[in-house]
Amino acid sequence: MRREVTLSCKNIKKAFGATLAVENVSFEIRGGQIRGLIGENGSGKTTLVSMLAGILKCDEGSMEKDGMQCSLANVIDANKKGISMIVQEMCTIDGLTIAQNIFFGHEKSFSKYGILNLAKMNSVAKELLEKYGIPDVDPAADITSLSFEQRKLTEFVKALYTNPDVLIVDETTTALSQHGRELLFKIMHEFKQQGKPVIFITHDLPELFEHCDSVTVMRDGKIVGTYDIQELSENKIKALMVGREFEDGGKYYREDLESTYEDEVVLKVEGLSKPGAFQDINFELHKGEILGIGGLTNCGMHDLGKSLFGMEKAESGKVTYYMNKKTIEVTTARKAIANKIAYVSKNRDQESLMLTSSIMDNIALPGIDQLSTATFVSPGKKYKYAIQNSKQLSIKMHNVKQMVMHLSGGNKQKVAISKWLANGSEIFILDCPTRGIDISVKAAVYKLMQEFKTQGRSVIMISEELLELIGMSDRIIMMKQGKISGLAERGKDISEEYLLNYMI
Amino acid sequence: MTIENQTVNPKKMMRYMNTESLRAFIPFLGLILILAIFGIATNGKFTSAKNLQVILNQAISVMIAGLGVSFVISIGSLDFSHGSLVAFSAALGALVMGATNNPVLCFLTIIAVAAGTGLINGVLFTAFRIPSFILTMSILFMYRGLTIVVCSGGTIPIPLWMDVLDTLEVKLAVLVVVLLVFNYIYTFTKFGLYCRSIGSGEVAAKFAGVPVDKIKIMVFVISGFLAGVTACIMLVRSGGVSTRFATFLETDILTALVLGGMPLTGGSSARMKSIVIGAFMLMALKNGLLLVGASDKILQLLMGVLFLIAVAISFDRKNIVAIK
Repeated sequence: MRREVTLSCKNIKKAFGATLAVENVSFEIRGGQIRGLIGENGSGKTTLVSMLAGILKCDEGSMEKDGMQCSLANVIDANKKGISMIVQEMCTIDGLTIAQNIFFGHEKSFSKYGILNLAKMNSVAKELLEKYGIPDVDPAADITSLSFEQRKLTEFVKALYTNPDVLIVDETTTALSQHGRELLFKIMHEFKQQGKPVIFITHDLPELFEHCDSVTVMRDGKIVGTYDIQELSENKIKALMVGREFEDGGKYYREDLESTYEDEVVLKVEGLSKPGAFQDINFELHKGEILGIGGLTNCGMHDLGKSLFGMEKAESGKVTYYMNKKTIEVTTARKAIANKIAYVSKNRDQESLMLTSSIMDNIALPGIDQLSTATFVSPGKKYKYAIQNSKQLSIKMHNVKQMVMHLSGGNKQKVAISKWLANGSEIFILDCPTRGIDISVKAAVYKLMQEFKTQGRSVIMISEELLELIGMSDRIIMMKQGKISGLAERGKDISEEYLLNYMI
Repeated sequence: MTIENQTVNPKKMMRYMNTESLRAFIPFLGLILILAIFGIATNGKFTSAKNLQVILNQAISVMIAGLGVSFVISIGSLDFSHGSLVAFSAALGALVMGATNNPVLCFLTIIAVAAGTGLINGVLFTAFRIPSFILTMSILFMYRGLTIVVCSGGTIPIPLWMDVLDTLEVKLAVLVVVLLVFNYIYTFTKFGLYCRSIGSGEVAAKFAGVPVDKIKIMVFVISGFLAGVTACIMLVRSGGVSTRFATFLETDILTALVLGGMPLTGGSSARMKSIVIGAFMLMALKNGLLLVGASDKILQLLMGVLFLIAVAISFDRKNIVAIK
């Protein structure tokens, strides 16, 4: 008789700073089925499964496996308790051999009196690699000698050799070729036949329909529902992912339903390509326009944003700005800033802010030339400048000499934007401007973007949130796997379902 | 999404502000404590004007050279090449003096060699991305080696008459000028803001338009230049260069900086006053321990213990991202 493995969790909660990533989620899966897990970027899928696999610790809630209480100290503990996960990102450790990577954390089984039997480890690794269809690989070689896909396949072996009861696969297929995918699906179905549960995260709907028995949909850190695959259609899944929140969120966004911008072109991008990031990008940005760029996290739009600002060099193509009747080709960030182009990064704590500097210094830095006469930067002028510009977005703080690291996410973002308001920027490239900030700050950012529009300034908003793209943009460029997959003009028939078609 | 964490808790804020300003006073308190303890223990001999002059005289070299290192630390890096860099440039200066008998040429040679080495440090640091500590330590070894080669015949002397320059007044004048100029640069110019910004967050500074590599190179040139000034002062004081000239200067500088409350992680809380007060504290400690009769043998041991205590008290653990 085959054993049915079950895994469940109750009222699981996880917050990152002020952002609630997973909120009171209860989830159960029985053996012998493949469960799809789907939701928009940032809906909490990866956070949820990371907790199930011991990668993250949950703030609240409990887990049960086979009806027994089960708490996981870390990934290796989870492995021992029969739960394995193949993660989204590359998770091999450079500098170790292939065999060492596979048996990482389980070296004990190969050691005697504290001495590691490498030869034994390598021969076992070789057997495993062949068993899972990856022959012709020397397990004693450094992991970096493998190709991207081969490394990913090595991770399969790592996840599987302990013979786990539960397999979790997080959005891995985008990194794999057809061969790799088939291998993965074969493994998933073997699990199913052995009466074990598989959790499969994917953005690819056809894949979902082909392999899953049931689907759980997540939105905003909560579970919307779990459905048998027969109950669902692609359109129904999309509707569930998006939810009916549009009416609620509506009031923060623009109220006009027509696109409005001047004919004057302020930025022209021609044939811009960067291998591994984006390919053959062409578009124009107009004066007074909010241009949305949307897609999945790794579709290349974030790299594109950096390239437009001169921080990442494209391999070919041209980025030309037309400002004050001048033609400017931006090659470095310094040149971009000198020409009043602003960039707010998605990676706020690393790229937008100097955390251990004061709010004042952060705000003053891009516009410092306005504050200096010859060599002298007047501290009084700098102080006033910072006060003035922090008021514009009403940053909540003790004083401007306070370090940025002690601010909340929303106020940090206000500092990151204030410095560009201060130096009088004309074109704003905003990468995920409302990521991880609360609703009141979100509303302030949206209001500011509308003010830019009326002032004749232009905005490029790169975003992973479809609602925000629809709510704010005059035009939306959708990207998929590094290429532009669609372009939509503002109007009432633009829906999230419509954009999703270009995204996945 | 929640709206908590939005408001700033005023109580918490006040506490933070207090510990912050308190920490800035710890070095001063330390110095007062040192003066008081040794003053009493030596019946006032320690705090006599004459002895304080001796201490200041010893501290000046560490202050001037350390001011340059302060710039390097403000960008979050370290310059550990000083002892040998000072020795080698002083040795070349002494050779030039012997050949030309021209003190101006001698001093210019020293400063050119030292600032030039700073330039090399900066270029190697930025172009090859070698950690600054390792890089400058390699220079430390190389230049000590070069000094030994140059001084193969023993000591390279300079003419006795140059002794006239070895007065506290001359040195104080140099110190004051250097302090005014470089504190101005650090505190009131764009360059200074750029340095602090790199130390606080290099990537974000780059995204805000700071020419990071250029600033880094310039910082190392400043550090080299001030090492050159120090080399001139030390050469005049000692009357010649031998193979052990200025050994452990780099360690003294680092010790003084930490005693003076300099955050070794750099960034916005780095201040130029740290080296001034720290250098004085270091020399006062050494001097005081000798005066109360601590033997040479245990001096190092005591210094190590005191150093550890000073760091444990004054190190700002809360406001740095990682302890490396």
